[in-house]
Amino acid sequence: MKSDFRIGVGGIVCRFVDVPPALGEALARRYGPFLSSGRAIVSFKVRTDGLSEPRRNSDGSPVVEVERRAGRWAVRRLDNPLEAEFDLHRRSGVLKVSANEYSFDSFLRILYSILLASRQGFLLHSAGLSRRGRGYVFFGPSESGKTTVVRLSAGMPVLSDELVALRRRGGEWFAYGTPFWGEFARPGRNVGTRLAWLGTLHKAAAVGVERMTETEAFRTLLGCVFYFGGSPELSEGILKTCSRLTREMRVHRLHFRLDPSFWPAISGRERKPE
Amino acid sequence: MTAHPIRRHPQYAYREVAGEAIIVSPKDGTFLVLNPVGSLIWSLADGSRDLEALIDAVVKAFDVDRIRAEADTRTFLDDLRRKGMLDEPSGPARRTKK
Repeated sequence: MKSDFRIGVGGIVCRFVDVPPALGEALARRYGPFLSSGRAIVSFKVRTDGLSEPRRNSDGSPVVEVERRAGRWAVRRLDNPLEAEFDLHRRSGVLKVSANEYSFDSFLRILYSILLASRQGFLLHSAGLSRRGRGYVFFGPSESGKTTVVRLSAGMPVLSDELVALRRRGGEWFAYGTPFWGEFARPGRNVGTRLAWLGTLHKAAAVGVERMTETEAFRTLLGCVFYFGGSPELSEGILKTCSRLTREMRVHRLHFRLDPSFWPAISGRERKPE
Repeated sequence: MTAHPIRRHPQYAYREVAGEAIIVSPKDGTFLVLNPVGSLIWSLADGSRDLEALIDAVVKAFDVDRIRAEADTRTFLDDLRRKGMLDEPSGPARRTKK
């Protein structure tokens, strides 16, 4: 059974070695399209022992702690336990996860939120679709309609219905598919597309597209960034990247009904000068 | 009256957009948006000003009387202090989410 995995998201490859067989089987299944042969920027030794028993906060919310101390990152989750320590300069770390794919997936999301933040990128709570090879990204909190938009867009390659990776490379913005899914329950396409359209989702009786002001877009976007803190430098990076994105891209508010009529509205807006 | 310099905690990254400071918590990555008065105080609380200087700035920027400016400034700083957002011996408050 394979015990050495390289997973690539948003053009960033991470390696996981000594993966126990039961977990390895789950990873091969879950991350198939995102398995990579590229050069990893960090390598983790994976263990599934030595973790404390699951526990929760008294308010029922899961506990995630992310911290950077003396150049090393420490990540801890208590409810579906995981612990990781890694050093990005030494390109190595140790990951202890519960023996299930959900624990590993939780770590992978946190890891990529860290790695993207220092590379002009971030994970955005959003649904992403590739339409004629260009990326359309619809962001919003839970229940805003991300999975619905995906289901109403038959035939279009899905980047994700939960977390899309946005990243600025070579002076352009790209939307990348991720293996992180919501109710759609399957991974996105492992593709990077030039970002063509970015907007928030609002369920409404009538379809409409409005352009948000830069200030409104910046605040709304920040509220949907998947990020756990842990370093002021990284927070600066997120603020700078979001600010740059809202300066360089139009951000819209999409009012949509539970049918595909929002696509013609978006196309109409794309043709109309603003 | 507080005479010592007041300094926002350096662990809190922030950016001003259209006169509002947006602050990122170092402990959980949540974002906090301050109103214009809070944003002014936050941006000036760099360790070079004491309470009096901050009140002066609020009076000047918002054209309010000194009694009200002092009350607003004290209330805001108390709130920051409670949340561990000032660079004081107690350090930043620990919070969790998600």
